[in-house]
Parts: sequence; C-alpha cells; structure tokens
Amino acid sequence: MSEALNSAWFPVAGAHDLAERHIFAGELHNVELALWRDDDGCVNAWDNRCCHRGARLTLGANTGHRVRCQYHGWQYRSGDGQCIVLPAASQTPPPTSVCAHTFAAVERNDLVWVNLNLPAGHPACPPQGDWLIAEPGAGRTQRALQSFVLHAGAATALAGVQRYAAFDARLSGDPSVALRSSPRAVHLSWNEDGQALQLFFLLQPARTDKTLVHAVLEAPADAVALGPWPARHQAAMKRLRHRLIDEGRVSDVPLSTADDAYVPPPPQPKVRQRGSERLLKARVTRVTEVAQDIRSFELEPEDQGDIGALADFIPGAHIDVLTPAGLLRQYSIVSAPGEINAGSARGVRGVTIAVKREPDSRGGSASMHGQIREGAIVEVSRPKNHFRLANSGGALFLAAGIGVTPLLSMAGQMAATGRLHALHYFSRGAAHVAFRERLDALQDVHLHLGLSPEATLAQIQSILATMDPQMDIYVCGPRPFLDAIVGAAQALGLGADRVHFELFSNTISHQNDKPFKVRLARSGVELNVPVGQSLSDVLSEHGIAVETSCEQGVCGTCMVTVLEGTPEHRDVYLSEDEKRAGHCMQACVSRSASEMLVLDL
Amino acid sequence: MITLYDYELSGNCYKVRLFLEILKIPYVKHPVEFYPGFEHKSDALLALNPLGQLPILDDAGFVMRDAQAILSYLAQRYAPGSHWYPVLDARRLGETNMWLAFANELTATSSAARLQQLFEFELDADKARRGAYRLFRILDEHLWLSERQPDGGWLCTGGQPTIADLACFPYVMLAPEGGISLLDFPALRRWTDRVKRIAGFTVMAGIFPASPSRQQAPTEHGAITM
Repeated sequence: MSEALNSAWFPVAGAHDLAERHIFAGELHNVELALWRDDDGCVNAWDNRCCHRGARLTLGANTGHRVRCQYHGWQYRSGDGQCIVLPAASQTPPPTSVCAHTFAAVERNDLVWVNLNLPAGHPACPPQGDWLIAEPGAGRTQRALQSFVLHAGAATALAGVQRYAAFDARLSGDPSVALRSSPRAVHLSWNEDGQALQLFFLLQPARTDKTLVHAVLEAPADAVALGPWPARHQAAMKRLRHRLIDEGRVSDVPLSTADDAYVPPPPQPKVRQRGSERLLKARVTRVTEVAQDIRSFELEPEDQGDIGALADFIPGAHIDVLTPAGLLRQYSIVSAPGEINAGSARGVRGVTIAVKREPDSRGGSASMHGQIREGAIVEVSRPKNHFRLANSGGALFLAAGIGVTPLLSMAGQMAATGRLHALHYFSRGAAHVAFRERLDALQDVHLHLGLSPEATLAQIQSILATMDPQMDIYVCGPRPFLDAIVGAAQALGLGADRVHFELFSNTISHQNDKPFKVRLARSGVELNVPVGQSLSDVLSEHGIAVETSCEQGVCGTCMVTVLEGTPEHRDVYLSEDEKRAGHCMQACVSRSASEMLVLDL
Repeated sequence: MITLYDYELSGNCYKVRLFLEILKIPYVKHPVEFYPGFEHKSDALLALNPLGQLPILDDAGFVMRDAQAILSYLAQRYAPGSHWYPVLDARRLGETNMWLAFANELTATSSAARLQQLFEFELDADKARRGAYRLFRILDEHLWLSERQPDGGWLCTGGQPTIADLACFPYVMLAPEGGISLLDFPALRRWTDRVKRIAGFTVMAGIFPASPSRQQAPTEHGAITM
C-alpha cells in the first residue's frame, strides 16, 4: 500500500455527530458520504449511493446493524457493506458483488476520520504530522466542538481560522496565545484560569468551494472544563464567519450544489484475498456438551472494531471457522440474531454454533472438539446468509441429526414473529438430541428417535401428507434424508420451489473425471486441469487465487464466472436453474463437459 | 366532528394532520384542489378564509385559519396541560410562540422555493432558497446547543416536543423539493429523526419514516434472549 493512499485521512464529523440509528450526511472532495454508527458503536463510511438505482442512502434508515435504502428497500450491513436483503427476492441471497462502496473509517481525537482511497476494515494509521493533532497527553481529554461550514476554498478558510482568537472575548486580549499552522490545520495553545488549554482546527475540503472547520478542545480531564465551550466556540465562529462574509472572502450561502459537484468515489486498490484473510477474531465464551458427540461453542467478536460483526444475520446463516487443524469449515448459527451469549463477560452480542464430532473427520470437527476450550480465540468469517426463510405463510422444518442447527435459528425467528411453524427432528436416540431448552421455546416440536430408514421414509410421507398447505418445507440433514423428502414431496405434487434445503456435505464420484482445458479471458493464459486435480488447485498453483472454503461444493465461496464452454456441475450449492444456465461454477469440485472452458479471470 | 380543508401536498396542511394523528383525534378530510384548480381561491373557500390559504379547520362550526394557530387551538382544546403547548410556563410559552412564528418564516422561504419548483409559481426561487438557507442555519445552530442540554433535543426547553417542533418540521423535510439541501445542517437532520420517532407520527409524499429507535426496537429482527 503506497504511503500516499494511507496518508489521505480527513476528519469528516465529530464523533457525537453520528447519533444512534441516524445516517449522517457528509462530503469530502466532492464525494458524498453516508456516515453511520451501528448499535454496537462501529462507524461506517460509505459512498452515499445505493448500488441499485443510485438513491442517496442518507434518505434511508439506519435499522441498527443495516442501512435500508428508501427506494427499494435494499439492506446493507454494517462492517463490509454487503447487501444481505433484496426485498423483491427475499429468499435468495444477493450476490456478494452487491455491496456498498465502503471507505476506511476510524474514530480518533473525538472526530471521525475517513480515507476515500481505502475500503472499510483497512487498518488505519494515526493522522499525519500536518494535522498538528495527536492523542491527548496523560490526564488530558479531547472534545470535538461544533463543526462549521465556510463557503470558500480551503486556503481562504485556513486564513480565516488563523484569526479565530480575535473573535473570542477572552482570547482576543490574551498575549499568551501561541499559534501554529499547517496547510490544513491551526493549533492554538494558552493558559486560562491556571489551566493549559489547546484548540485544534482541522479543515475538511468538502467541495472545492466549501470547507468544513472542525474544532477539538484539549483540556485537563479533571476539569469538567467543557461547560461553556459549546456556546463559547459557537459564538466565536459565528462572529468570525460573519466578518469573513462581510469582507467578501466567504459566501453566505452555497456556491454550488452537491448534485452539480457530484463526483464518484476514487477507485480503490482491488486486492483479491483468500478467505482466511478476511476473518475476524472471536472469543469462545462457553463450550457446552449439548448431546452425545455434539458441542456448542458460544462466540463473540474480540476486537473493539469488529464488536458488532456477529450481532446481525438472517436466521439460517452460517459462519466459516478456521479450525485448529487449519481447515476452513462452515458451521450454522443456532442462536437468534442479537443474542447476548450466556457466557459473555462483556455483554457483547455473539453467536452459538454446534459442532458434531465426525468419526471420519478430515480434521475439522475433531480439532474443534479436541482443542477449543473456553477463552480460546478462533478466527471466523462474518455471517453468510445463504439459507433463509422464504416469504411464506408458514414453515415446516425437517431436521436430521446435526442438521437441526440452522433450523433452530429459523424456527426461533418464526416463533418470535408469531408465524406458523412446526419442527420435526429426526435423531438416532434421546442422547443425540441437542439444544433441549431451545426446542422447549418452540411451539410445535416433534422428536422422531431411532427410526430405521424405512420407518423414517414412512414418517416423512405422513408428515408431508398432513402438513398445513400454507407451509414451505425447510430441510437440513444428510443427502439421503433430503432425497427422501424431495421424493415424497414430488409424489404429493408439492412444487420443488416449496422445498428449501441446506446440505452440510456432498458426495462426489471421481470415476468419470476427464482432463480439460481452461482459458483465462483477462490474461489469455491457458491451463490444463488433469484427472486427480481440481480446477481451484490448478488455478492457485498458477498464482490465480480463488477463494475456497469447504472444498466440496457446498458453500459457494469459490464460484467463478464461465464465459464459454459447458461446465459439469458437481456441487450442491447452485440451483438447478443456475446449473442449466451454466454462467458460473464451483471451482473446487465442478469440471467441464466441453474440452475447453473460458473463465472470467 | 372536525373537518380539515386539506391539500395532500401542503406542508402546512400536513402539520395539522400530523398533530391530529399524534393526539388520535378523529377528523374528516375535505380535499381542496390547490393546484391546478386553485380551489382555495373559490368563493366557497374564501368565505371560510378570506386570505385564500390552507389549511382551514372547522371544529363543530368553529372555523379557524393559519396552521400555527390551529395547532395551538388543538393543543389547548384536546390536550390541555400537556407538553405540546405549555401555557402555564411563561418562558416555555414564549419559546413556543417564538418558534411558531419562525415556522411562518419557513413558509415564506422554503415553501415558496418548493411552490416555484413543483408548480412553477411566479416567485423568486433563488431568493427564497437563500432565505431558507439562513433560517436553517439558525435552526441548526440552535439545535446543536440544545442537543447538549440534559433536557434538550427539541426547539424549546423542557425535554419534550411542542407544537413548535411540528410547525417547523414539514418545510425542513420538504426543503430538498425546493432545491435546498440539508447537507450543511447535521443537528437539524438529527432533530428530524427525533420528530419522526414521536408516537403517532405519520408521513406525507416526500417525507419518509425513520427506523424505530433502539428503545422502541432493541434488536431489529425480533431476537429472543436465551
């Protein structure tokens, strides 16, 4: 990252300006900003445009952890700006490319600082030397005062602010006032009533003809000092502005409009990251043996900057967890959005996941069981909202074994909003039934224990035959369980669009593997994918990083766009329609039916 | 029964509808075609208000004009002793009347710019916009200090909204329709969110609701605590 990019930090608001559930309208270098704080206090700075139809996000609503555009209700989440709800297609997850244009933002000196050249989440560096301000000294505190708009360029505003002392009743006659100045800041220091006081003025170039003057007072922390300062500073700035207008240096009213001055945000460096680089640290606040071979893990974000990262998701979501064995694994969230973990010492909102120890584990579940204890730190992704409730009158949940996890969260949502639901939980025996207390909170729960495959099928047929016709069916369990339900639904004439499912694993046969070629459209490079190697392996061997996660065609992480050729899909992530269309494929498992595939890479 | 002679797109009619909704007072709307029919200048309506303006309120035969005056009447008639119009507190009564008068200044500027923009009335829109900008700056600076008071956040002291907040609200929110951006007035924008969260708040064309406050909806998706 070049120094120039990292140094372009500007103050854009006082920390107090970003009120709870409010979207603050800002402007920097003619780029309009939507600045908002989530319910956990994390600050977001986005381009003020919905990426759908360009409506201003500042017309929309801050609902706690999302901003909802006023125009068509698209909802963007705090942190990475990902769009997670499209109301017109609420049951399908929006593509990951639908995302707010985010900027790096940080709170320092009681101000909000933004860097237009860097995306959210980029580590911030402290303000550079010519801002003149630093962290407050020991026993001292900094408070932002009111920011003022001057309709003039930054140089004129700077010359004006240098005259500030003359417009404050007490400073104007004080010979002890020392003034320092830089091209974008002014610093006053003096002694008053035995206290060393400092005022920092920082200039924000909003538009070429409009400059914002931020002011930060630094005073001893024990002096309840701020008292008269909001009014005193406002009075001085009003007098100063009035004088500058009288002198013809500053305009009384805007010289341009944001519409006329509008420029799109500058391009940001596109870094293609592997999944693991976007993970956040989470603390394991509690580990519970919830059933035979099943442990639940309560997680909460560890770093203050990520503190709200697990608070908001759509029931049915999963997170990726980097297991101690070094494998990235998907685990569904059992808890409801916004739950404060029972084991949390800090009252932070987190998630509960459950992990079943698999006898033929490739290392993921065994290492979670063997090595993760309370207090451990694990790396996890933000929630991924792939599996979700459709807009239907009711929900019939069919779970087998550990597949109950996402369905519990979804059923909790149905119960909390008073909608019709029933949960059928198939398990090997009473000792294998997890989350009894969560099951008790639901209304219509049926346990089916120790049934043979034939008895399971008969039970499924009977449930579907008598289900409420308003309900959609949600399934999570192993493949044969899903197949039995899909078959039974078909036999009863229930449309395939009424059966929603999530699989935790995929069985792939390599018997018919054939070698094929891929051409990468952007570089023209051609590669051979031999038998015994996956497309994603071949790509990463040649330095083309494709993010992978489950490596069995379940999670959708490694999706690549197909421009020409016919993929042979082996995943369980894409829908049948998407597979037929053939515009994308999962690079970890899927291969090619044609000799050549042209990929958008 | 109350009859409101009403025009859907009028901010001054809207503030009366808003207050009637907040107080949960049933009323009947009598729609008046302000534009393009200029029905408010018809003989029938001039008989009710010789100034030829809307809204007009008829409460069981008692006929009133002027939105601000109507708000004060409704407050004292239907919510006496409430925070909406603090007649027993001389200072707060004075403050409320001062900001009610300010609402008329907003009508003369912000609303005028909008009338020119929406209906091409023959008005000096640039002059109206400059005037509105200066008024909004006064409001913003007042509200910035008010936010820092323990019982602040509203136009008048006392920690609760008054009819002055409702009176000033519509032509702040509708200002962008007259070509006046609120970008330079952060404290004013925060105050509009507070007004939108008053119980009973209702919308009009161009004025959208706010999300519920955290007190009203601690989590936005119906979370249950285990």
